Amino acid sequence: MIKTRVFVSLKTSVFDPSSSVIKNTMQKLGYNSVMDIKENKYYELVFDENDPEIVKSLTKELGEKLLVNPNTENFRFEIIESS
Amino acid sequence: MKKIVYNIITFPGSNCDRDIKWVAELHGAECEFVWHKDFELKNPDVVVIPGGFSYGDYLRCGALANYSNIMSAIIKFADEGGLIIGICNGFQILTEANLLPGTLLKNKSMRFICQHHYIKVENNTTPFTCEYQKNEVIDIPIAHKDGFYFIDDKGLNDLIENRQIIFRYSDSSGNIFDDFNPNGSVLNIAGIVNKKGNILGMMPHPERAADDVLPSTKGRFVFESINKWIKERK
Repeated sequence: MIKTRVFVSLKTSVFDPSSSVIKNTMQKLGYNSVMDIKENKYYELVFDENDPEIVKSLTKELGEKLLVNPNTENFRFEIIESS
Repeated sequence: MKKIVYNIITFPGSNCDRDIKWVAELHGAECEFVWHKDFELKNPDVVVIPGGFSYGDYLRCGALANYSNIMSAIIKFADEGGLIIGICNGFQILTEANLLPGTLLKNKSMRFICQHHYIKVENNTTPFTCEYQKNEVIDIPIAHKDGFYFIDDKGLNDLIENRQIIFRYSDSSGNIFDDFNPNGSVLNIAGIVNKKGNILGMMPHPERAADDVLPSTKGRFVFESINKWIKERK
């Protein structure tokens, strides 16, 4: 069994209203040193596989095919656990 | 003369699918609902992907619907030049399927917007707008949280060059300013077609403005345009 973690973030050219609202609220609460915030997503995938290379390839494929919209998002991933 | 056949795709969470049937039938068409788990269409002249919240908008709006069984048949129909309209969530699904360029993001205000809005017809030479006047301004309902149309600069130039921008949010006189942009869309875009011109995606709901009992009826010309376009070619 191998577990991977996939991080998805908006491309910098894409306006992110959610992060902007969160930042404004933090500043409203008095945390004025917060200059910027990025809201990202991450997924944990558990594979019934023992070969890390196969898992890397499957994770990449799933990221490109389903988890990410390539017009607006980037992603990276890492293996976090194997047993 | 044989009636025009609409196929209306339904997902769990679709809405206004029955309104589309009602309006299409008012215009003399025949309608068949097609369940998203089906593999085949039912001999359509037009396919409509309605609004709503397919798959609960999980992952991204339209992302999971893009992998429903019926999508292969829809892509084949599109490739053969068949007419397709995606309304609201249907527009989101068409972008996720890469049948239309760009992406629908969260509204800049982060709010769900449900209101009447004016849009301007930018191109009245398409199968979906040929019964509108050039630059006509219409009053039409919008109801969405993810309607911010985003596309990169290169994609936007292509849309402009190929006259693919069909509807833009405006004021009642057709002026296009940021103040009349309800969701932050690039260039106030409310609807586009693909390069070939046979697929329309729009966030506003024409089917909710197409019956005499409603405050606005200008949405009916989308259906009348389709009728005219198909009848002239049959």
